[in-house]
Amino acid sequence: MKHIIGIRAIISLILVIILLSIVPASIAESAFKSYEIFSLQIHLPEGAKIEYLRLYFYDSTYDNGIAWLTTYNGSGDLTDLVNVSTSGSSGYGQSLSDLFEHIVDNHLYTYVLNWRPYVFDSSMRLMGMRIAFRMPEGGGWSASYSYLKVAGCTFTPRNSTVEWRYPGAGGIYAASWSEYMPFINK
Amino acid sequence: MFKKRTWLVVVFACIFITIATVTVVANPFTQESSEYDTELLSQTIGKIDTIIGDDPDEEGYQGKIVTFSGSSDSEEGVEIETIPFDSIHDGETLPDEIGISIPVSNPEWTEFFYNFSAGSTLRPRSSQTRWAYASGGCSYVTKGFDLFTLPLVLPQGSRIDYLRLYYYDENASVDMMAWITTYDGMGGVSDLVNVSSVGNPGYSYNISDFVGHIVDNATNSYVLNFAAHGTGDSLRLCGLRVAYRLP
Repeated sequence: MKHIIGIRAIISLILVIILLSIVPASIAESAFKSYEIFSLQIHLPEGAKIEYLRLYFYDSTYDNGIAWLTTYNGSGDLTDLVNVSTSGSSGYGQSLSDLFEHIVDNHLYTYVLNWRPYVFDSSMRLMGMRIAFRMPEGGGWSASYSYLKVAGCTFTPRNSTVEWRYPGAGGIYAASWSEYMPFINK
Repeated sequence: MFKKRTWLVVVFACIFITIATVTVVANPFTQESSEYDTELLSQTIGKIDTIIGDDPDEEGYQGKIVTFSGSSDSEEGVEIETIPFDSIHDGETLPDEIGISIPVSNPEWTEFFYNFSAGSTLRPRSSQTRWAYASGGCSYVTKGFDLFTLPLVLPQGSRIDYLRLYYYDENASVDMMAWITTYDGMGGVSDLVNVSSVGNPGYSYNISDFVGHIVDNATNSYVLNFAAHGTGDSLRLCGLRVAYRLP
């Protein structure tokens, strides 16, 4: 009797592994990796006024990735200033955030760009981000924008369990989450 | 026969529950915050620097200033021969060195400027070391012992005065350490200053001694280095802030 139960347990385990391997990699992986985030440290001029975040992407899926700008104070507190998502599924594109206003204070805050792809294959690529800001000028603000533009390939994951690849043209995409579930790493 | 069918139903029910649990726990379609648990936002945590002027790397400080005496506790851990290299003073000016501003000997200095970097943006110098994100822009080492680094880009001729280390420390037996290090690309290494965590439990920060180094981007590259001296989320790097002045 114990012998039969043991065989059944082994067969059950094999069935689970086979089923998880049959499930399309993108679905299984999105379930496991949906929270994974890529980030990049940025530095902006003291006193500048940030107004827009623009996201450059390649998106050929029905899911949307999201980018946002976060401030940290080094003592565990954070604020997400603005976010912007990919849109459509026709390949290269760009999205612009709503207008917001934040005055750069490098004494109190550090500024980090974050990116969550949701999809872990080359159908969702971060190509770049651009921050539009105005410099203080004569008691007001400069009439023209200054920009900080960064390439997607300069972002790295916040956790070392994530792998990533370079698809060309300065982009990046999340490739797999292989450290603990190697059999779904296709 | 009935028992066999029951067994199959149980197996496939387990498979379904496993997949459903993974999907629900991962919750891939809702979260847009940078944190796993947005309740952290409402927590009152840490030692937050709210008083301006009580520390030497802030305007208005009136207390004692301690000058860094040298690069003790080298981040390299080995002696490296420094190769002299300064093409500007070798009588030959290369195309990428024409018109470079030479630091003035005794300029008037501006008030403080800051280069503030989140701990979660530093990465290890070797892929043998692994890391994970904690919360609030903090990271910790999960495996390995390599240093974590981040380029430090400052204006030519500016003066580096202080390095501040923000951390979360729940490990009384280990102190974390951060450095500002220069490399000349020819094997020369110099640790300008270091600062360690101190025994305060939880979120805290510590400030280095006074540095007074004039930035020379023609000769040096500047790197922020960090060593946790241990693994696990009881030793978190939350930020590094460099206070500097412009001429």
